Amino acid sequence: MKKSHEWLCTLTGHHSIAMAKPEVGIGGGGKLSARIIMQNTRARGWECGSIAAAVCLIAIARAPAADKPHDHREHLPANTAPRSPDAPPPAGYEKVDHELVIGTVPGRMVYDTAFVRVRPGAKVKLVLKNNDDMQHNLVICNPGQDVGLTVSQAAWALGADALAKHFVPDSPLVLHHTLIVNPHQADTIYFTAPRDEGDYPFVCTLPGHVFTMAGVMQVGKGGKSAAPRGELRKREADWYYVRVTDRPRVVRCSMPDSSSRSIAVGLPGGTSYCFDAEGCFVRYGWTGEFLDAGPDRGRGNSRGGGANRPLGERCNVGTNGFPLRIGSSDTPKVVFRGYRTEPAPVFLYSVDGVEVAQSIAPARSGIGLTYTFELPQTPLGPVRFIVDTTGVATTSDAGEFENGRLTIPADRARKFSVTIVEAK
Amino acid sequence: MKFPANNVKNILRKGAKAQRNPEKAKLSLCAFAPLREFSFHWPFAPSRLCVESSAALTFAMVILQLSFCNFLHAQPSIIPPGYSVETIPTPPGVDFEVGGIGFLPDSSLLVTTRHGDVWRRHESTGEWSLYAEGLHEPLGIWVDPRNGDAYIAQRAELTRLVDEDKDGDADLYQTVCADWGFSGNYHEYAFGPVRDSAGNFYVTLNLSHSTERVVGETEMGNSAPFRGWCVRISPDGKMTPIASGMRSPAGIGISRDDELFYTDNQGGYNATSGLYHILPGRFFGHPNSLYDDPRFAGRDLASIPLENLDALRTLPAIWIPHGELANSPGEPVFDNTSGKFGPFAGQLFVGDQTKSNLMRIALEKVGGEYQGAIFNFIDPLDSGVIRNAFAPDGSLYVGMTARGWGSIGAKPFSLQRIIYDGKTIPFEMHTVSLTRTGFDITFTKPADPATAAGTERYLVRHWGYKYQPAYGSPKVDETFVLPQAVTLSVDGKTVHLDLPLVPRRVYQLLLVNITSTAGEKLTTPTAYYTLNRLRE
Repeated sequence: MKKSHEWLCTLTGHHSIAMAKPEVGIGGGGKLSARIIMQNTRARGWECGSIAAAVCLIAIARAPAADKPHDHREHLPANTAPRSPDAPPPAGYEKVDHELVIGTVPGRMVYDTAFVRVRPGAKVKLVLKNNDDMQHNLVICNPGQDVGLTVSQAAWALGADALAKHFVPDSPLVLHHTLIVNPHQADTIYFTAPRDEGDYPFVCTLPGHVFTMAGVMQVGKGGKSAAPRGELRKREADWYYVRVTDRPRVVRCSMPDSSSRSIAVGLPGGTSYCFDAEGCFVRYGWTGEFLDAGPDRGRGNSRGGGANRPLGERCNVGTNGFPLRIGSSDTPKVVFRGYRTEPAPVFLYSVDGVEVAQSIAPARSGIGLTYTFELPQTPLGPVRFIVDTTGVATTSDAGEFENGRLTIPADRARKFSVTIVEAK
Repeated sequence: MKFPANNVKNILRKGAKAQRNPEKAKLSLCAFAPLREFSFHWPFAPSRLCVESSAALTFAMVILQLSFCNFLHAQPSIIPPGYSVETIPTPPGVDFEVGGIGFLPDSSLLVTTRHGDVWRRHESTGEWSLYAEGLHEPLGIWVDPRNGDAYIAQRAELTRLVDEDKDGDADLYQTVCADWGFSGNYHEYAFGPVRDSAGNFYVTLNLSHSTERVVGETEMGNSAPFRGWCVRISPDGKMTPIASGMRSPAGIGISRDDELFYTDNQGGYNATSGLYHILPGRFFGHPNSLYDDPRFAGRDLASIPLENLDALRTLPAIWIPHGELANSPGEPVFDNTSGKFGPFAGQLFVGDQTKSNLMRIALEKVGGEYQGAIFNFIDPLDSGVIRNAFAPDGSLYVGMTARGWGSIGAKPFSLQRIIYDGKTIPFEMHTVSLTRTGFDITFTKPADPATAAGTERYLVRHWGYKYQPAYGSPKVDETFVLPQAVTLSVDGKTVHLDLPLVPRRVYQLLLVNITSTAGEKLTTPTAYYTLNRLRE
């Protein structure tokens, strides 16, 4: 099977299949040594490899006298300026049939496009836009089983050559490729699509990336579509949904409308809540299933870091910042101390130097939560509890609320409960 | 200068044989892997031509080598004699992406996973039980040998896990310190802790992948206080930021003498990955962390010239060449096993997430600062290596995860254990030490003078790196050197190389077919020495 293997050296403006230049350098040992650097002897792969030496020698003979010692490798290391999409195209590509932009998704180890289609023999401009925080490339391969993996493995075996070769092995399986693209940069290549119809895999050949950074460039007039994703979604739900059965579940994570130091708690019976460990108070509750931990934990090959998703209907618990006042201060200093998990979660924090333990249970009637506060000793003065009463009903075993404020006498404040439910 | 051509011809001949008879040739191809690694920069024209003229053959060799050495075998292709790898079965159905490894007083293993569990493996039965759950990507653990309390750095805080009711799992999750900033960005990892002899804990904090508080055109930001710092946390929970300039300080280690080291990953302001010696007040090069340094309060950090930052920074004790040895190194651990783990007591072992290998580091002090040599040790393991811990029996547990970056080890996660047989002395470079005139390479056992005494047996090249906001750095001004003189000591264990020395360079030493007196080959014939300072 013969394919078109022309390689456009848009970087240097050459359209040669092999380049070689003699270089004279002074070695560190003070000895003069001649060095020959060749690169990208890719044309026609197998066939050309055997004649590369001859090509090389011819090239040496024809190499013009360089103004100064010049090493082509300098064009290729990883920090090479990428080829801008706006730079003038090489000859013959002033008009292209397809302009493709493939990006990388930050933190996910995937391309944002897994499937592109081009017409046989079409002129293609392809931009790889790297939105990630690490280096990537894009290598289009000839069709075949596991070709992307085979090419990647050959790239990983390049050893000291790998960076200079942009993780592209000398392989007949490689059709076209970008340079290594640094974070937040892009690289542009121009090529003529193969005349043979088929599915041409593209992959990132940096070490280990192929397992998730892979797609297909389909050469043809249409018909096939990208792989169905429904099955994958179902599997992801099984993996990342945290389910509550007979015991409470406690998950530290980022949560929506709360700080990144949040704790999601799911209680048996279908009530859950979000405790903000930075502010030491409950932000909200919800009823239904517990938690999709995929966003923060990292779905698939993702690095995670997103806010997790409560799986249910949110309920208002009248939160208006940190609710407790112990002593006279209206801006208490609150320090999170941690939590106990058995038999049910109890949160520990200090309020203006007074240690508090707060347990949280579903309200016995209505949709809401009951908080039980315990102090280690009788406080010096009354304790206040402040809530935003909009849309909620509040009760307590320690007194009556007035305008969203409950004042508990010191001698009653060692242990008291507050229940907040959604108003009917 | 006649040696390389013959060697290369040999390789090619064997490669050709391999094509005809792959099964038979598999060993010889593996053995030549290090030479192939070197071939691209081969400084001598004739051999260079030979190598290039057989591009197809080279490709065939690569494929053969991959097929027969790396990917079908459970065992690594590089492993010193006397060492073996055991894969520990992990709890079924659990994404066992290892974040930290520790040992309870009864020797049972505690492993934190990136999804937030802590699993306990019972020493006697090998069975796993859930010790704690729901932590926020815990990436390290230190277990108090006196009482079994586990200290764990989560993204949000340093936590002490206590089994108060002694029923075999933790029930108190106590916040020790939550004073560092955490915006929620995925890149804001917290690594550690390690603990010093005074009871202080140390945690390293990644920069954010963001555009907030950024100096220069670089990919990382600083979205919350003390990103890019190492912080010290006193036994009573008070936090003191002690050193800055870090990017992705993915591993922290401490010596018996309370000396702190961390590894950083290549990226902006970080030419290639490295191992750094932490001392209070040090700045390691990434300026984004300086937004939280009171000495720079009110300063326009962007206006500070790069050369001033360069002068301010502490160089790594070890540069780890990107793509060759490691792309994202993890936890450095000191071999304090007094020989239970083989002849490298006192040296450091560190793994790499991308390359999935385990490396060995031999440090020395020159001019009062650490520098030294790094060697590939075991390569590859199952998945991306980020955590190592020596077990009480002297074996080394290796914790792995590939998620988020990918790794050459094709499994998504794994837990393996490296075991030394207690008797075999592998033939290795034990240390590479700088002299006033070159290097002393000390072997683990006597080298054969017929192979070790010739200058042509030592291929040396050295290069520098750029300090720049852009991602990483190419090798700068790569230079090839032949030693001017080579002397083997009377006991055959140390070879003295005389060659010109240039500071602030990485020296790669490739030893060509040097054998022990018993004819054993070096498992790893390549050393990378970071020469920051010359000997006075």
